Amino acid sequence: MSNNFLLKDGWRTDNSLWLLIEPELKPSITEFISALHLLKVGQTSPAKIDTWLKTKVETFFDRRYNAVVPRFGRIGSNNRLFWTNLNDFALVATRLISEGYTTEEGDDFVLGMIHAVAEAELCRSELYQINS
Amino acid sequence: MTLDRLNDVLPNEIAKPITTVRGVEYIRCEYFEDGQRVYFSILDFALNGPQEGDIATRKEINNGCEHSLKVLTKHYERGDIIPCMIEVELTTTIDNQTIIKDQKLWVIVKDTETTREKFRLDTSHGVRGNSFALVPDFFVKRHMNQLSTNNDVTVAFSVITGIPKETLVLGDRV
Repeated sequence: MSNNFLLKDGWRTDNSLWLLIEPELKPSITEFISALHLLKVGQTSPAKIDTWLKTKVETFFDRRYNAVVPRFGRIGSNNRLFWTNLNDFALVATRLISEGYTTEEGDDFVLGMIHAVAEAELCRSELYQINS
Repeated sequence: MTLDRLNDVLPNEIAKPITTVRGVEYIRCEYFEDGQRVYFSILDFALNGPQEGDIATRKEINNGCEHSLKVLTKHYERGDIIPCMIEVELTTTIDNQTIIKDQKLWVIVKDTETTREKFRLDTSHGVRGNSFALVPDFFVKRHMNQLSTNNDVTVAFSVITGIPKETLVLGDRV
């Protein structure tokens, strides 16, 4: 595998990453993190990971807004499961680091991703307050 | 002071939340159902919690996770009797599967020169900032201690001590 990748192979099937995570959450978290798996060093920076995510996992984001805002989708959808269980996402993402599945550059991107997701959720809360 | 001792001292009174005996103020503690102490704060844990080498354990009833905490080292600023940071080690298992094993966590007690430098601590934003008091070593090594508190190491500490995992170090505490 090229050293340019941010994540090392094997994380999807490592059971230790998924301990205490509800099985129905696994597909959405995997889909989200997989976006990072395809990213190579130099394509974007950790600071711009939010806008990059919006283009790569676009079904998770509401494209009506310029800002990075979550799209919840219908009840039971992967999107909704993902956005209503962000603690589990953060848990799996930090396990990627502690279990050694990230490269040195990958650490910044994974943590940038956690931060971007939290900020997007915050943005949604603010939008709802404005619109209500 | 235990509740039994308090009952000895004040046999005819129901203990108040705050009791003063011979000029010393006692505040009522909170306990988990299994009898373990819920610490008020990081400072409470530093002063009244386990000593270096001691091990504290707890089992979560809802999911069967077993957590264990070992206090490694308490670090002091010169001349101070209160540690500024504590190194602890955490292990979590569930059904004989290891979630984390001997993972180091830094417990930041005070905003001092040492902790500011080591953890790039910035308490200038007060409670609006991200100066987390519980920082896993794998974050410190990457200079990323101002990020997520949702990780297994911080969660394990929080389960054992009752201290919320998002606890902040605040600069205006003495």
